[in-house]
Amino acid sequence: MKLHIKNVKKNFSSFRVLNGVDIIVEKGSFHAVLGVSGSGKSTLLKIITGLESIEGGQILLDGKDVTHVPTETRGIAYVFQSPLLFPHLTVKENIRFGMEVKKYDKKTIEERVEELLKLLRIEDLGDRMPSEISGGQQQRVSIARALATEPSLILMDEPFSGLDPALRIEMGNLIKDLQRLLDLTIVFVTHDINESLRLSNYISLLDQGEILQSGLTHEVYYKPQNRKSASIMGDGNWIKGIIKANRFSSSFGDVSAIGFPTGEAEMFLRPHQVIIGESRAAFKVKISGISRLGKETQLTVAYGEEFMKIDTFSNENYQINQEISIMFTDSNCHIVPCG
Amino acid sequence: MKRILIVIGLSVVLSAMLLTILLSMFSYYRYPQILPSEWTLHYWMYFLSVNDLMAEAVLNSIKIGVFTAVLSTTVGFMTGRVVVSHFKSNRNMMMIVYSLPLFVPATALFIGVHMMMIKFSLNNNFWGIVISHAIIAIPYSTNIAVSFYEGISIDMENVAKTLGCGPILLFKKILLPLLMPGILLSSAICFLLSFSEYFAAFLVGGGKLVTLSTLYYPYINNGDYGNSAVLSIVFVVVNLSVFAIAEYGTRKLTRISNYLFE
Repeated sequence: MKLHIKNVKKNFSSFRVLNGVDIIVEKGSFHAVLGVSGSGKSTLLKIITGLESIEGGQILLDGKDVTHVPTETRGIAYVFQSPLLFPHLTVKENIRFGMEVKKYDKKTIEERVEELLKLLRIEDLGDRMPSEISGGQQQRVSIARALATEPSLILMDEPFSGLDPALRIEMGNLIKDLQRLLDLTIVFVTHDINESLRLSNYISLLDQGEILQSGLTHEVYYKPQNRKSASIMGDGNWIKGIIKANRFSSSFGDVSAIGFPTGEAEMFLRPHQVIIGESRAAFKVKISGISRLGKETQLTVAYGEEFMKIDTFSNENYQINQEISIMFTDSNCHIVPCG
Repeated sequence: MKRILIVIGLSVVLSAMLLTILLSMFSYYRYPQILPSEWTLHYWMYFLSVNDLMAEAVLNSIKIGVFTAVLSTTVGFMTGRVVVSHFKSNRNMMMIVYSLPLFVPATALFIGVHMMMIKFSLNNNFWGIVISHAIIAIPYSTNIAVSFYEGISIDMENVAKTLGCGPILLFKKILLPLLMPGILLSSAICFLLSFSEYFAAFLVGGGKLVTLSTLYYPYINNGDYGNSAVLSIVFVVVNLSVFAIAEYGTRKLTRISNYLFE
């Protein structure tokens, strides 16, 4: 189901939480909404389900305005940050809850419960109470419960935030597999850059109640529209220069800039897009900072008055003031005209 | 130290119970005898025989207790819901407001209540007593309700809504089962408050409606320790039975072993 969040505005008292948010979620896509805490992500999900009212705008599902349709009849499933299993019901009863409410026939309910237990790899937990299973298992049950009624859209509000790192990755992969297998439309809210990059094929960046950029994940990551968009998704290098005769010139040399207007511009590169190595196009820089992040090392290099960050997996023991050669390809450079 | 304190505490309670049982079963005692010389079941026979006044008193007390429990728990849980949902920042203030009847001396409170009952023609009346008892029971039931509602995350209700629950189904399938231990606890406490309340029954009932507590008071006042002891034992047995029923109901009706909902 295609979801269109159209110019949505939301206030809490006099404070504007969402200011004209506009997002299109394509059918069968895994759409991440990335933003820091307090950016309005959870409020946005509650608005989509109808748990929060809005001051302006519309929620359209397949073109149909559902802004004023009650939550219980929207057919949108919601997986919260914590599993929120009903503590008085067993795992099986939790999963079948939505189907019983919607009056599915008994045979369908039984078959679907067994199918979901198998799909979520919790076959042995059916008769246990929620208090008798682990946090990761509880979250699996809550996902099974959300999938049970075959919702047209699934909203996930940082569902793995309470899990340890290894389990987070495992659960993320499971969700991704399920999304592909069942052709689900998922809106996934997170503040974890890596999680959003790993799972989503579309992404919207939410900052202080406004959408900074929306689009294909790799496009938003490698081609941010501005510094703010770039910084939300992690470190980046902005190099000032001038576009002249279809070339972008900076202290780091020239790159192709066909189709861009003449004038001041900036070039953007993620730290891992800068390559350390010798070639004719390479130029010498001095290491001014080193951060060792386990298997990855982040170097800060100086070239004239410009600084650049470089991520490398090399096991070389770099030293401050060491001179190294770096280069980057034209295709990796994203040019943003100033103004 | 802890064990000694427990032993002392238990000894006090059990010796009081034992003394009450003894008092209900002897007819003659003279100091310095340790045990009474003449035993009798007269007081018990009097209580258990077909005795219109006693039967009426027991029946009235139970009826008033049950209706007070239902009324107070219903009002208390409705109030609790409003307090938890709508008074987030000034919840403590609200708790003081609805607990006010507990801060006023019983005499002052029930004289005022009596006057209101006369105004609404509810004096000397069964419902008048039920309402008077509910006035002191509602603060307790509301406090219990607030504690239980606070234990249920609003997001759990939101999950149920996204799964298709309207307000009625949400109450029936989620809130009611989760609140059931609280409802039973509140009902038991409200019943016991009503069952042992003397002043309201005496004043509002005007002596026309006999309850166990209105019978109990004159027995003690007149030094009739035998009958007083029998009624005391009846009070204790009823109170313990009500709590046992509430406890059994909680275990039977709910399967929640860990009351942390999130």
